[in-house]
Amino acid sequence: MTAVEVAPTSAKAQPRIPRRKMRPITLEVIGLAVGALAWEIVGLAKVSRFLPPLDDVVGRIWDLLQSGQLREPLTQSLSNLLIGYAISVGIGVTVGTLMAVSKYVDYALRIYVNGLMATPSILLVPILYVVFGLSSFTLIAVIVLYATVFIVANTRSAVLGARHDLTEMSQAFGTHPVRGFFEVTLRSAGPEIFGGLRLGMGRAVKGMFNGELLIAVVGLAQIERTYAGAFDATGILAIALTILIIAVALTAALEALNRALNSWAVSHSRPSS
Amino acid sequence: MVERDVMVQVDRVSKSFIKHAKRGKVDVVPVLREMSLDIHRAEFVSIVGPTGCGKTSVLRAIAGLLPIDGGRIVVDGREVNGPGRERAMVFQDPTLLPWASALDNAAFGLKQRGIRKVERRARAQEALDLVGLGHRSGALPQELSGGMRQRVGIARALAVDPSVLLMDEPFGALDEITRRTLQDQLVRIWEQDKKTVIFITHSVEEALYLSDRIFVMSHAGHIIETISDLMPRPRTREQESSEEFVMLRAKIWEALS
Repeated sequence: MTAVEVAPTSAKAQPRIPRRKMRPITLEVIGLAVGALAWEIVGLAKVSRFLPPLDDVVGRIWDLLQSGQLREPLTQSLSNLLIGYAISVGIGVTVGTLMAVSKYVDYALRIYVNGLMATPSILLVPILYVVFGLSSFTLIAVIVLYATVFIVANTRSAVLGARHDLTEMSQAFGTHPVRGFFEVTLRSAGPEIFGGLRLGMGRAVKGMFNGELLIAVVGLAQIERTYAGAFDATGILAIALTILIIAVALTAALEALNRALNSWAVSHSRPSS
Repeated sequence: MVERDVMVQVDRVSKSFIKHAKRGKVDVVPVLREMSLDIHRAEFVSIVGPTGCGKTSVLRAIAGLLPIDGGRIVVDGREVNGPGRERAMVFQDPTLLPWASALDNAAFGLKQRGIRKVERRARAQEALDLVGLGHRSGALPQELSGGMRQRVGIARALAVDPSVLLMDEPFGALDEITRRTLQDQLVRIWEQDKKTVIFITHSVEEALYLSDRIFVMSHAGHIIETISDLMPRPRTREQESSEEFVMLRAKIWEALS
């Protein structure tokens, strides 16, 4: 019989303590810092006169804020954005849900949703201008046009893919189908619906700027147009950076809301046993 | 007329599913064909049979979740037309609300019945204690193991204090050790208040260990064998190797083959 050699166990053997992982927010900050540093270096190297260093651009934003030049256009743009986005959410979630629950509504509207998703929204902006004229109503309509269809498509897909086993369970316990739909089906689709809302927010920001640029030349686009006419690269990038900050801040706010409402889907707890 | 001690009467129940075939044609697939069975008050019955024989369909019909095409189902003297307060179901998948704690999941049925918050939380906690999960009442489903989740599903059904407990392969997806633990727990709970239990399973051994009576189904709800003379209670795991258990198991397998 062959003896089996057993490796001696070290008396000092200790369980391996896993290294502490970096938090996602830390990684995001590092990513931003690296990008900012790269921009600053390229800007200082004067690779192109149209790419000034980052600190010049940030300084211009600060000057615009200090002088009050940014306040009114920013307020105008943001209020249009928030009104347009709120309308998009209302229409998008309602229509998307109706498409998911009724095949008749789905058949009737699917072609429009698919068509609008494939068509560049910018092509339809002049039509809105003709219909609504030169007013902030047109700018809001452009935002709605840009954002709504993506919210509709995502809501439809979220409700169709919701946990229907939970709906049946709720019915087994005597829940009224309508109550079960709102309390169980729609709730289980919540995280996916929020995915569409985030996408819609990005589209709404695009719609806000394109609308201002193409129709009224007001708000942030008005300042942008002025800088573009003067070939002022620092000014152009200052407005672009402002819009980027608005988009990131609003998306982060939505994400925070998603985490608060749907923490069960966002958390990644492991089963205990 | 339903006999006094009959709790659930399935009387010549038929159910077919319509399958849409090519060129606008439809195929009618019968899942229950004039099926009849009586289940007595406080009885623990199991229905065993191969996949697709209609076990789950008959249970869902009794639960009121599956409308039937013909015949009638009577539970506690009342004809079934939909889900009812006297019945509660435990699903194969625990189907817990992922956003709700174990306590809120266990209280779900009570909430739907309009029970006040304080009372429903107390009753749900009691049900969780009964299944040995009282200490994890604040945990979300994703923080619980498969066996624990299934116990929350059982607690949810027990919390509403139904006369009839409908269990659709509740331990089917669990490992053998957890399955046996939950079987023992179920027997203990059932012996406390003797609810009428209809238990669907693939496992012949599980049915023999738990039941007073076993219906063996073949296809479309056709009962090919009813085994009544099972081992006396209380039962032990040691009995699983007894001659009586082996003979009963062979009898069921013979009917199934």
